Amino acid sequence: MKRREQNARQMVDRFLVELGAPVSDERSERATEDALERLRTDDVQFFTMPPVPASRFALTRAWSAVTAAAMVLVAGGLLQMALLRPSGVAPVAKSVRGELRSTGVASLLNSSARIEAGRVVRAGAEGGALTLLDGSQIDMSPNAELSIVREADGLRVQLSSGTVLVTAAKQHDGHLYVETKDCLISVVGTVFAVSAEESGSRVSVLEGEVQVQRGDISETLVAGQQASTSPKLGPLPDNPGDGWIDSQRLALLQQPVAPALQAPSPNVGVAVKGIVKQASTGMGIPDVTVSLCQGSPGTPVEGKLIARGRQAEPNDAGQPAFPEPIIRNKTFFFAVWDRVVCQARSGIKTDSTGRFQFSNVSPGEYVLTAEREGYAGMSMLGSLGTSKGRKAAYFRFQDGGWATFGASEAGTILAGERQNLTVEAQKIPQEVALTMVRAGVISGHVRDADGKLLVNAQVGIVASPDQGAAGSESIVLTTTTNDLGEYRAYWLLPGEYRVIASGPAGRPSSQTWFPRGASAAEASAVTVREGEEVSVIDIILRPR
Amino acid sequence: MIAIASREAARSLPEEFERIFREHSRFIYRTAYRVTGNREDAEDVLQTLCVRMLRRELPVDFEKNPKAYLYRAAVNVALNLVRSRARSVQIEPALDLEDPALREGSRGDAEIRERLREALAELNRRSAEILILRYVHGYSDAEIARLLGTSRGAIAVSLFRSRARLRKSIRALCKEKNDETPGTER
Repeated sequence: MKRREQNARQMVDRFLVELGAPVSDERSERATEDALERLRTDDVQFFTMPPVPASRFALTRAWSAVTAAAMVLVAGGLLQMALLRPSGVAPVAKSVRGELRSTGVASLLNSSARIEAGRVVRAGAEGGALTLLDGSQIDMSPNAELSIVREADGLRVQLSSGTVLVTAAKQHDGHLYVETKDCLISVVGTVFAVSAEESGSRVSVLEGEVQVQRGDISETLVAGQQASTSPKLGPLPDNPGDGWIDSQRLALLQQPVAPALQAPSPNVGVAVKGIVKQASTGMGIPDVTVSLCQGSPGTPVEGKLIARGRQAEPNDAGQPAFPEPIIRNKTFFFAVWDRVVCQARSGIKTDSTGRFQFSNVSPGEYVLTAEREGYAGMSMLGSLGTSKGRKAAYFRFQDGGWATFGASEAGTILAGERQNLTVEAQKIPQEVALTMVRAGVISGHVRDADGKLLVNAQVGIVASPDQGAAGSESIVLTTTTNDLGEYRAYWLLPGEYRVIASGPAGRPSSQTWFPRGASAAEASAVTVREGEEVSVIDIILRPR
Repeated sequence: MIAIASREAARSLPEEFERIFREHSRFIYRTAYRVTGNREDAEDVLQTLCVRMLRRELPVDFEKNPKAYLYRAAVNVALNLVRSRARSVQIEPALDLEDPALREGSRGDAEIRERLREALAELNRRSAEILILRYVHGYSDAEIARLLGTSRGAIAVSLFRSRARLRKSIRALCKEKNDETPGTER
C-alpha cells in the first residue's frame, strides 16, 4: 500500500515536470502562421443556408468597432421564468450606472461588474443602465427586471417587468432581440423602448426600425411608431420614474399608442400546409414536430474537414455542389443548423396522416423544419461521432456525396429535415412536402474470450470506408453494453457500418472488430436499411 | 441543401487582430500543447481562439488584458478537448511521437499521462489555471497570486489540493489494474 502511494507521487511529480518541458518556438510559429493562413485563404469555408438574403451571410470582417445607430423602447408583462434558460456563464454585459442587483450576488453590482448570461438583473429605485457585449446600451426604468441570454446570432434581452430604453449597437451580422412574455422584437440597429406590464407589452421606436413579432404576426415599426399587445395599455405613464431617461424621449413615449399587435385576427396571413413523408414508402409520418421559423443562420462552428467524397453535381433544383478541390485536413466552418431562431415558437405536430398546417403566416422568408426522434432529414443526413478519438461529424448528402468533419468545438448537428420557404401574400394555400428517413438499429452482445457476457463493454459503430473517409475510421456512435451484456446502437442512418468492441473503460482488453477481427481489414460490414434493426451482431473479444 | 458561401480571393486580415494574435500565440500554443499533450489538438486550440478573436466573440473588457483572457480561454478549450477525448473510444491514441517528453515513454506511461490529463480537466477551472501557470509556465506562487488577485497562501493550498487529486486518480488507475491481475502489487 505504501509503495503504491509512493508510486503515485512519483508519477504525478514526473508528469508535472514534463508539463514544464520547452515547446519548440519553430513549431508554435508554424502553427501560428498556419492558423492565419487558413483564415486568409479559401481553405476556410463558410457553410450557410442558401436562399436567405445575401447580406445577412456576409462574412464578418468587423474588427473595427461599430457604434450605435439606432434606439428602441419596449415594455412587457411577466415573463414565464421557465423560459429562462441560462446558457453558459460567460459575461454578456456589464453594469454601467445605477443600483443594480443580480441573482446570486448579495451586494449591489459595481459599475463595470460583469453580468453573466441568464442572470436576472433588477434595477433599484433610480433605474440603471447596462452595456451589452455588442456595445448596445440598455437603460432600465426603476425596478425593471431583465436577464440576458445568448442566441445563435446575438443576444436576447428578456424583459420581465418595467421599461427599458434600448440603444442598439449596429449589428454586424447578428441580431439583438428583446423578448417580453407576449412579443419578440428583433433589432438591426435602432433606438427603441419596451415596457412589460401585467396586461401586455408596448414597443416604441425612436430611431431606426425594429421587427415586432407576436405569435404568427410580425410587424415592422419605424421611428415615431408605437405598438402594444393589448388595448388596455395606454401611453407610458406620466411619471415612470425620475431621471432614468431624458425628458424629450419621455415625451415621445407618452404619445397615445394604437393597439396594433392584437391577438391574431383571421385572414391576415397565408395558410402554409403540407405533409411529412417517409422516404421509402411515401407514407405520411405522424407526430413529427414541424416548426416555421424566420430564417436566420446558425452560428458557424469551427472544425476540420478531414476528407470528403466525390464531387456532387448540382441537382435539378440548381442547388450548388461542393466546390473543388478535395480538401484534406483543412479547417472549415459549418453552420449549426439547429440554432435557427424560431421567432414564433410555433412547433406543431403532424396528425396521423403526417399532415400539418400553419394558419395566418405573414409573408416573408422562413425555414420550415421537421424533427422526430429516430428520423433523419433527407436533404442532409448527419451525425456526430468521433474519428480517431476526435470529435467528428459525419455527413451523407442526398446526392450520394459524403464528408466527415472533425469539430474542434462542441456543436450539435441535428439530422432533422429543413426547407427554405418563401411565403407570398395572396397565394393560398401553399403546399409543402418534406421527406424523412427512419433511422436503423444495430444490436447484439459482447462476450470476453471465455464466453462470459461483459457489462459496460464499449462498442463503436464505424462508418465503412466506402462511405466514410477513406482510410480513416469514423466512429459515428459509441455505446456500452447493459447488465445483460447487450448493446443497442440506435438512430443510425441507413448505410454500411462496421462494429468494434472492447472491454469496459479503464481495463486493459483487446479491441475486436465484428465478427472476430483484429483489425478493420478483417471486419465484416453490417448493412442497415431504413427503419431496420440488425440484431445478433455478437462480438467475442479476442484474447489479449 | 448545403451551399458554400462564394469563395473569396485571399482575404486580408485586420492588422490589429494579427498583431494581438501573433503577440500571444506562442503563449497560447504552449499552454494548449502541454495541456492536450499533442500537436494536432494544440493547433486546434490555437485556431479556435484565432477565429474567436476575428469574430470578436470576446468579453467586453478584452482589450484591457488580452493575455489574461487568451490564457484562460486556451486552458478552457484545451481542457474541453481533453474531456471530450476521455469520453470517446480511441482507435489510435492521440500521441505525439515527436515530443521528446514522450519519446522514451512506454504504452503504460501514455495511459498514466492521459489519466492525469483527464484528472486535470476534472479540476475546477481556477485550480487548473493555477496548476498550469505554475507548472507549464513556471510562475512562482507569488507571481500567480498577483496575477489572479489573491494571496500566496491560497495559491499554495490550491496547488496542494490539485496535486492530491492527481495522485488520487493514479491510485484509482493502479487499483483498476490490480483488480484485474490480483497479487501483483501486494
